[in-house]
Amino acid sequence: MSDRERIRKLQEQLAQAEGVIEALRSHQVDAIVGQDDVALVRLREAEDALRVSEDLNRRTLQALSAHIVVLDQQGRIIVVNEAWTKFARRNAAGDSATVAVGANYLEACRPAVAAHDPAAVAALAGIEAVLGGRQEQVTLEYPCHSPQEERWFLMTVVAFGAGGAVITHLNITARKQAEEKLHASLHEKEVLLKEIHHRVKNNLQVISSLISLQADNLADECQRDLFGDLRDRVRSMALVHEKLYETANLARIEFAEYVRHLLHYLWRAHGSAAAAVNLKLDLQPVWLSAETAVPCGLILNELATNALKHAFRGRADGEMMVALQRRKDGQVSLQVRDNGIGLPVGSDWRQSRSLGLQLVQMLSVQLHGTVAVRGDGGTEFEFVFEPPKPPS
Amino acid sequence: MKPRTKGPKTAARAPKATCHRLQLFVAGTEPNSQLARENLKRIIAAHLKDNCELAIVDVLKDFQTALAANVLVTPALVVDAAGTRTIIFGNLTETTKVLAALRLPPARHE
Repeated sequence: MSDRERIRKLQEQLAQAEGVIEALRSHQVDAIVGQDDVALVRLREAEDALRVSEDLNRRTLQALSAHIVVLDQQGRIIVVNEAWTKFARRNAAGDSATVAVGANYLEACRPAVAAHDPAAVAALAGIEAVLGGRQEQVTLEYPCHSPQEERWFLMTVVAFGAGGAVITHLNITARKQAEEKLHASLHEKEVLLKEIHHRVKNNLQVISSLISLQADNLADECQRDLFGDLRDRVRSMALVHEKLYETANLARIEFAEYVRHLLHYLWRAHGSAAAAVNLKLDLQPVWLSAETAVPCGLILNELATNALKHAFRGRADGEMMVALQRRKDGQVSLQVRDNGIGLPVGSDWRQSRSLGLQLVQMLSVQLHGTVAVRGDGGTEFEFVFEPPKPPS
Repeated sequence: MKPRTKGPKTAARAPKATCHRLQLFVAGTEPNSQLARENLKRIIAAHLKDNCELAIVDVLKDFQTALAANVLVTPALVVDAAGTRTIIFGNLTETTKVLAALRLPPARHE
């Protein structure tokens, strides 16, 4: 073989090799033929999929609006996203390199910790807890106000890979401000509601004073009594509103406290008639809404007043027992018991012409409750009802 | 039959003189092999009509023929024309390269 031929042959081989390399490089090869087998080349799809997913991950990280930084176990910054870099550039006093890739984030936190910034102290402790494997995740809301504006951030530190951590700082200023607005508005409403209960109570008290004044001018004792009953009823309603604005709740009152207060008032209002009657209380705390407390208070007012006026007629002294309890079945029981002369034999209290007892009937129906009357060495009224569940 | 100035005799002989022997080596239905098949079919229809002999060799069934033809990777097209052999590797997407190997007009232009 002449040199010329040999060179031509080599050139051919080279050209062929070039063709093979080009086909391989442009991913156009499916199989490689060997001396005794064929190997399929299926790298391309897997490679493409990997490239696509890597690219997708990178672009997703960059597109996220939260400021994201990934740390290794020592706290060195491995990866940051666009939002992080931008924020660092705008906010780092002079040197944003302290929070760029390669810097140590823990070191970057130390000056603020040394200055006793409570947010920085908590943040550093949280990051160290996650890096040290003591906690999987730490979240922290902190203020980071700039001279121009108020800013709030939510920091989340999540354990990542082999001992590292991903830290996300999300700007939550808008949420925080909305929260503050809601709080302020809620507070304003509470103040207004309190004010309304106060005014209702004051107005009812004015009405009861007017009734008292009118009663004082009456010569007829029977008429004075009627006015007195009316005054007590208005007063028992006013007391619910007084209790409402006194409690932080504004929607419910502690009824045992109300019972104590109302009976104390009745004993004062009924002067000598009440002075000889010994009052005994057995009260458990029961919370009632305003809508339930008003009719319930009126029922107590009627039963207690009725007993004061009629039960001890002709007696030098007596005893009245008022009990309030929430039973195991969830129902509330209000008992008014006296050791007086008892109801007239053979009479039915439901047929009574007394406005007070008619009111008791009407109000108990309104509350879907039942009234039981027992007479055994006195009279016992027991009113049982199921208080409506407060809206959740 | 188109009337030609050089006479019917030469025209009738011409196909024999330029007849191409094509061997396409593929690996089953792998994506590039499939693509090469389709590309070659298209090129033949457009440029060679019936003026060629085509053999398709699946290396997954017969790799000895590939070895003998010095085909190391597939898809590969082996073209025997006018006493010379050319091998084109890849999925034959670049038509001009294929035509050059076939020594057809568009390639001569370049």
